[in-house]
Amino acid sequence: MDIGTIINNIVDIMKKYWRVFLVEGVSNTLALTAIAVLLGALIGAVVTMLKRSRFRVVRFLVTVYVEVIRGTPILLQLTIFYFVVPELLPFLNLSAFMWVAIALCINSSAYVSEVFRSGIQAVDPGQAEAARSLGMSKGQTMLRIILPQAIKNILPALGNEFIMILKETSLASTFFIGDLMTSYKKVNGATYLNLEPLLIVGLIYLCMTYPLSKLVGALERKMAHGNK
Amino acid sequence: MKKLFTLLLAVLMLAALFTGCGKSSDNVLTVATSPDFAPMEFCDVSKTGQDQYVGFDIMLANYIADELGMELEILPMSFDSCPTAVTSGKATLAISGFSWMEDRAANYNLSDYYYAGDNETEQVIVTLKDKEGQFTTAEDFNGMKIGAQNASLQEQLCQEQLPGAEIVTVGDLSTALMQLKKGDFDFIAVAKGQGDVFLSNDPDVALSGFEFNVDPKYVGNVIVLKKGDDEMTEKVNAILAKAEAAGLYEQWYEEAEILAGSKDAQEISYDDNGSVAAD
Repeated sequence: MDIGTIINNIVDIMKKYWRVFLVEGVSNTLALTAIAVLLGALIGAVVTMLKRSRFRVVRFLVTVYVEVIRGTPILLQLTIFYFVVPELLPFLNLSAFMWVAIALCINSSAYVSEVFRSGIQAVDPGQAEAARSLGMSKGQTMLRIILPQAIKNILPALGNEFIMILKETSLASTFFIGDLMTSYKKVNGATYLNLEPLLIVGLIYLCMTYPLSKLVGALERKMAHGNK
Repeated sequence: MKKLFTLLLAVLMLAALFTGCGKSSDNVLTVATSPDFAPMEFCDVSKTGQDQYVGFDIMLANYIADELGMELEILPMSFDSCPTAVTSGKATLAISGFSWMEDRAANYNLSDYYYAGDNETEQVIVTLKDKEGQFTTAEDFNGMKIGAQNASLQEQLCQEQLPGAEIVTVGDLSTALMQLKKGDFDFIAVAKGQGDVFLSNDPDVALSGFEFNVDPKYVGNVIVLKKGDDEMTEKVNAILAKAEAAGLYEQWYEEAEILAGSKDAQEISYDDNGSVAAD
């Protein structure tokens, strides 16, 4: 394996296929990540609330939801959402892209809900007790005392979750929905070159995740600042 | 609790927003394919949407859709997923260079054969240059490691005809090529058409000298349909017979090879010195 050849091939591939990678691949990956992260965080918040519910049945169901999703491979979930769920809900006439996006939302919601839960639990129970004994209602305690402190724990972990999701969208290429890994498959299928397009795709993923992880780091430092 | 209900409702309504986009008419023929296998099916990156899927199988799918008076919709997905699409009803047909196999026939309705040039008629074993032509009989492969694609015809052929060999299952063939060069195994079992592409792209790769004895039933490709979908299978078979009688297969395969060879595929290749010869 000759490094010079590989670099030459990479340059040639980029000359010819840059649009497939940089326009189509990047935009679809970012769109998929944005949908998965935003809706995932929303559903995750709901799941966390339900998990703190007074009703045992609700708590049980939510626990099953979280455990099943965290305990099964994401490829399986994608396959089920691509093949099985559309058949069960024929009136929901969504595109393949949307089904994959929904599967990623559901997946991230389970992880995000655990991030929320652990963030909330990490707040000293004395804080809640103090707030309650000062006459605050349960809702007030949560909103004004617990959540502002929990956010410090939650935000950095949430940032890491976003980075994870960005990379996990690559599995969506199983269904050729146009994300960055699909770009790799297309170019690979047309040129029979494997390593070169893979390196290109890897570099682009890195370019997307690195600023994100820097951002998370900055956020972490900022949050830690208040602890002193 | 009430707030929660509102939130859920909002999410549902949001989901409803996305409904309605996409197919709805019954007059659409959905075909699952794995467009990463030139010249049978691959992507022409200069195009977008449905137009980007090209190759022999796509031309065949177009022909079938025309004959049925339906509109064609290609559903791209990985090779393993194509049969699942048929079972789940997401696609009516799976056309992706499938060979006839016993297990496949047990779980799906398979169409009659269609022939894509010399793509499947010969099955060979490729190796690295230093072993070129030195392996001609099945016994030569005793104790050797051979790479073959998961659930492929080649894997089955290795099992049947090279009992002494150790089969290493690989996910896709371009990865297999890298593994071969890295030394994970010394041989790859491939269809002749695919082997030719390897040979023309990479000077280090050569034919081992062995050729599988291919039963005629493996020579053609078949279209995969849902088990029990006999009505559609009959229709498809009639159309295949018509296409064969009209001599369309050769014409399509030629067109597909030209498309794969000239435009967007294999434009980057290695010349004899191992450096890149891009045209």
